[in-house]
Amino acid sequence: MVFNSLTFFLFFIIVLVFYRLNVSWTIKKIGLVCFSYLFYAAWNPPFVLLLWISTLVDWKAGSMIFASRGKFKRRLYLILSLLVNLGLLGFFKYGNFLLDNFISLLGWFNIAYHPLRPDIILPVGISFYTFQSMSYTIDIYRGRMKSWDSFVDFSLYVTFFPQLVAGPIVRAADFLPQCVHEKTASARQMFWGGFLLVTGLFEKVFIADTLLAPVADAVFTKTGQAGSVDAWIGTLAFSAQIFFDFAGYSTCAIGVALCLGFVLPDNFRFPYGALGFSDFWQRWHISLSSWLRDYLYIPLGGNRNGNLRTYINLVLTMLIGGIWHGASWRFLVWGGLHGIFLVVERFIKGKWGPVSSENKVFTPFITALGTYLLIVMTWVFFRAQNFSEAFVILYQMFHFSGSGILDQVEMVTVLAVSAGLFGFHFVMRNRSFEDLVTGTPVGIRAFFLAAMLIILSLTPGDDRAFIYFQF
Amino acid sequence: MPSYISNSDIRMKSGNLGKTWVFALLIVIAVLGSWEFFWRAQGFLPSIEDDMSLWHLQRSKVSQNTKVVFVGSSRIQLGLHPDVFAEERGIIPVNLSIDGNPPFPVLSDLANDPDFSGMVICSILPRWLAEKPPEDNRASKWVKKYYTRTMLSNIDIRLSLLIQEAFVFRYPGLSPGKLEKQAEKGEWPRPPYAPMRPDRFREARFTRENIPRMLASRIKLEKEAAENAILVSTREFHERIESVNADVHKIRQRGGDVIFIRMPSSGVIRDIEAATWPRDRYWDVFAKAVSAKTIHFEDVDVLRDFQCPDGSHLDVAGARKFTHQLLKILPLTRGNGRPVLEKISDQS
Repeated sequence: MVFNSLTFFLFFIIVLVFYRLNVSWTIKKIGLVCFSYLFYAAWNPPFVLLLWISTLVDWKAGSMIFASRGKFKRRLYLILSLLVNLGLLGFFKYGNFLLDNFISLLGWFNIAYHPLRPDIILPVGISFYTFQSMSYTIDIYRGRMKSWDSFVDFSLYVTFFPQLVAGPIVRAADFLPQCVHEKTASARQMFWGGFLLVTGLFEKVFIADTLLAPVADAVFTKTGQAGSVDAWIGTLAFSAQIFFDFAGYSTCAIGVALCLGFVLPDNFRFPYGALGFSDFWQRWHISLSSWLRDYLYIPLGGNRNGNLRTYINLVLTMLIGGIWHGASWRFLVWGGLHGIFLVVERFIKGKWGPVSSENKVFTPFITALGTYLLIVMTWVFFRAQNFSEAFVILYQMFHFSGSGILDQVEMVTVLAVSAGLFGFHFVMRNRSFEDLVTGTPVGIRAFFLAAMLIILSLTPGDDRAFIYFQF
Repeated sequence: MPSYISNSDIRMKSGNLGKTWVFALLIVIAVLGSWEFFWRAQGFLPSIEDDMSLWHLQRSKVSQNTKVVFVGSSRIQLGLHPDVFAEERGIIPVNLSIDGNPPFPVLSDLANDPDFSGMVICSILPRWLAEKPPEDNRASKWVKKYYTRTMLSNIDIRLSLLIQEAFVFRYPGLSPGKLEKQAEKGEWPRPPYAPMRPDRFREARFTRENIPRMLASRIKLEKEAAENAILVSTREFHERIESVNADVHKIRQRGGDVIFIRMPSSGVIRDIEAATWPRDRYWDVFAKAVSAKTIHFEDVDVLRDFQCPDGSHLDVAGARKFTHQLLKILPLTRGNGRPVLEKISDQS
């Protein structure tokens, strides 16, 4: 079930009505768990089993880690939890990829191997909920939290429908305490949650799907005909599309959760206004980047073991962050590029100092613009279907050959949206969306909310899935 | 709470959000209400979008009890009136035609559906036999996607139909994108001449249309299509007929049947078609080689002289008459002798 569907609208009304019933908090939580399974089963009912496996294994592993005194036993239970979660992820997400690469590797040695290809369907959101679930057992192992007593609460943590399939990836320590006392959304939470839901849907349905996706699709499906202008506009379009698509989903998730009285972490904080790549990763998909930082980069040694080791840790973390997105070498290259940019940035900062308005070369605006353009270029590997398409687009970007695909209206639209997006993020980078909205007069705020609702009402639906569902 | 949470209730300043919502909803009601009233005054009525979801909804209605399915392109979608089937034979047909697309992917899909054992009335145009499939092969795409849709798809489209049938402003022709494109061309939106019904029949009324202009446009399209046609080889042509025969065989094995029909065209369009796709080279070869019954409108007295206002599509009155005449000559039994198109008296 997707947020931008009428079925979800009906589903959400039913959930809200149920949530207002005069029943115990435990019954409400069990109801939310059941609704969450229904939400997930709408894609493929058998995959609910995977949710149950993740929930049961991590629940049990968490309790046993917490109850065990010996280091060996604690480590054993943690490894068991990681094996099950990563095993599921590996089988469903990386099975075919590993098999293909194994066959190619044998091919290099002139060994012909033709195994039966398993028909594996990727369960929606598996990368999100396995990471979320794993963080619970790792945190208990590290002694950062106790195992949780209530199985219902833990089930709700793993399956909570607003963020189940595309994040934000929530930490157990942030979510589980919210399950203790009955949650009834206040009027302000309902209004603000509704506002966020409308904003997220507007970002997804109108800006990402209607304005930008057709342009990005046109360029990336006809890369052979693309000129330089097409390559730039198409890549800018995708850069904005993926932001509005994913940030739109996160905003909807946060809004929906808030309508139920739950608070989810922000996933985006004006990322295209970032001053450098380390700043970008504190603003883009924050729940994943902070997960990678806490459970991968820091355990690898972080920046504690000298420059060289720090550089290796950065690249390794970003490579894993890249492959988390999808079983393809393109995502690995995308992650690797970000890792290299982080290393270069760290080196430059060490040499010339941090970005500041006094710095004559790396002024905030120049740094933000440079960061934005480099990020835009990395998206080519994310969007292209294969490396040859990606290299054609990158080659065209610097080949100065005009336009062969897009018309003027499409170009102007994408340029306007991209310039607006960059400018808005740059100006807003030290503020929050809430500050902006609450600081705006009621009349203007109502006008914008009404405009979004009207445009959503008039825009025909599209069956385009959220981009991050495939991860 | 971690520092990056900025949407918690604690950090939210009071912002008169209730007032914001009230004012916003008042604006929405005023604007959408005026918009709705304006377009209704321009002659628009609520209309349904003919998209993949609606097709999937119809496809999901094909079951063991389905008696008749229409397959083909817009000619059969506008030309066979389902109400006449209901009135005269007590049958509610399922309309799986797809505008501008060849029928073969849908026919194959039905042939491979073990639940289906009814009759397929399949509209065939010579060009579908002779040409390579169109680049935008929606028929293949829609069939493929039917098997990957979620279990809630039908609920979603039913909810969508409720809204589309209630409000003119949900008509896709009045979406901001479409209006912008029409404005670029200097055109004013016009009500659809063939609005879609939920059962995917399109009631064509040409009375408000500029027929000479419409005809000229269709002639141009037909000529361009003929000039740009990429023909299949003779071997591929015969392979296609063999593939159709295999599908017919599968349907017949389950007790169903297929009837291929050439829907009418008239005037200049008929002349162009006759010149571009000579009957003896395409239709007659197909009719001879295919193992199912074929009906060409030119071969049947009562079907021969229908006038298509735009040259290739019947209007709603024509569709009624044509369906009535067709039902008189359609076989009443399937391949295995079981009745398909019972008369109402047979059903009681």
